[in-house]
Amino acid sequence: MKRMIEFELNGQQVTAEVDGGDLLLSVLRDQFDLYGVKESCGAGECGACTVIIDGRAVTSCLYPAMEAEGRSVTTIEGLAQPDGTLHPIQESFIEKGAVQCGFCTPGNVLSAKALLDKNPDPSEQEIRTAIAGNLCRCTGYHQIVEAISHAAGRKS
Amino acid sequence: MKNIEYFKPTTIDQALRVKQEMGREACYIAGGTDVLVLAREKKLDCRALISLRRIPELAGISLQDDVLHLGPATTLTDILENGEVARELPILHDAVQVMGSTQMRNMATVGGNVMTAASSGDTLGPLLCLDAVCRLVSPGGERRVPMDEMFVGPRTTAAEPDELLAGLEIPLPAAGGAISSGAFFKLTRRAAMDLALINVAVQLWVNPDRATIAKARLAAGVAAPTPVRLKQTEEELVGAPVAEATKEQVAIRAIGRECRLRDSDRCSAWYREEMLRVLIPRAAALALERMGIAV
Ligand SMILES: Cc1cc2nc3c(=O)[nH]c(=O)nc-3n(C[C@H](O)[C@H](O)[C@H](O)COP(=O)(O)OP(=O)(O)OC[C@H]3O[C@@H](n4cnc5c(N)ncnc54)[C@H](O)[C@@H]3O)c2cc1C
Ligand code: FES
Ligand code: FES
Repeated sequence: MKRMIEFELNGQQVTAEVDGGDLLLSVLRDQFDLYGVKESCGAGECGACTVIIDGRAVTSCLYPAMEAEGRSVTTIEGLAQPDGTLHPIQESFIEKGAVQCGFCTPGNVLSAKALLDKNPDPSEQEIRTAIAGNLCRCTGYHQIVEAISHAAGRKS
Repeated sequence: MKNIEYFKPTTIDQALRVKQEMGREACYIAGGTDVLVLAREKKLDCRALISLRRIPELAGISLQDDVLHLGPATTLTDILENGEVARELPILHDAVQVMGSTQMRNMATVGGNVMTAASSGDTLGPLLCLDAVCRLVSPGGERRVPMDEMFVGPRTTAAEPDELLAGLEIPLPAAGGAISSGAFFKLTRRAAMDLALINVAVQLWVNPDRATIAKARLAAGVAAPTPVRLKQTEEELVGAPVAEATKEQVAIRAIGRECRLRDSDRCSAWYREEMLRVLIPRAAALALERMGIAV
């Protein structure tokens, strides 16, 4: 049953018409053209579809679109400044070679952002725990961990 | 899933009313990490979802008269970050820490874990060992079911279809000056994002002499079609020297009598048995260590 919902998306109030069975993942891609939200496993296992809702990283493939109502959703498209200046975490990912094919990158960057917003000076173990739900087939993770701790240093 | 109605009640009464009107056609959704996986596999047959995410009475953790009230819609992250759980219920803290990933813990709830009732459910052994009580409510009223009577079959609980899990009550193990602690171990193929090949929970109470066991709770997951308590062994440990709980012989006897291990595509019964022999004593030793008792 379709219904209009209102929520905050990357800092702007938006409305969307969604069905009770719609997943946030497909609404973000199909209605808002936010293709940085990737679908891979569709079952919570890979983290490619990660978005931040009210400060916490969640997998949008297991998140009912209806639940976004009244909440604040951040996707990778919401990180850079309007003039295109990248977020420090994005800069660090590039600098440290943490991006190869790039498919996992939005999810990893958002998991990193949710972590650093809450804990600006995480240990390596805390970083690894924060991205344990984000699979990467390319980098071997080392560069991603390095990029996140580099970004933490840069922000502080 | 298409053409699904989605209800967002804000009180338990509203949720029950919708469920009563829609019957089997409606199903409760908390974190959705089990429900939506089933839906994706087309194994969920319902026309409506009743969300439990916006019912304040169902979420949160509070302590009253030595009983910890754990709202079933509390997320695993909120449990993990709760100081009282970390201090008083390390057995539950251990379990939540190794469940899923950060994203899963941000969504998944403890009530969803209980109601899914998978033998591998990681909070179930700890809740069994803590003698938790489930408060089940329906339009007809409320009843209290001990955790030990909840798991009646594979993925089946004692709750009736019209009953909502409205609360979990956990008596603090160390209430009244009792000396107690617990521990949980889970064996997985990788460190995160994996269901247990086997899991073990142990809670021990020791006598004031700190040398003998006053009460014991042992539970295992994926060791039978439902999570199981090893009751015969629990009884035999009462009065025994503390070191008894950490003996491999005791574990071997418990596994033989009280588990029903099976081969699965994830791992063989033989391997499960070998690992239980290691993990039961290890969990007991850690529980004792947490009470400052070296064995
Ligand atoms: C990638 C991934 C990793 C996972 N890892 C683990 C793991 O390591 N360990 C583990 O144990 N599980 C794991 N799970 C399974 C799942 O996350 C847990 O079982 C979780 O606790 C379910 O909670 P939920 O709130 O998401 O449940 P939901 O999916 O919302 O609900 C599950 C069931 O419970 C019912 N229900 C929920 N709340 C209530 C209530 N209050 N009253 C009545 N019925 C209710 C629902 O109707 C449904 O039948 C994993 C799942 C995924 C997708
Ligand atoms: S697509 Fe959502 S976790 Fe893989
Ligand atoms: S960069 Fe290719 S999957 Fe991570």
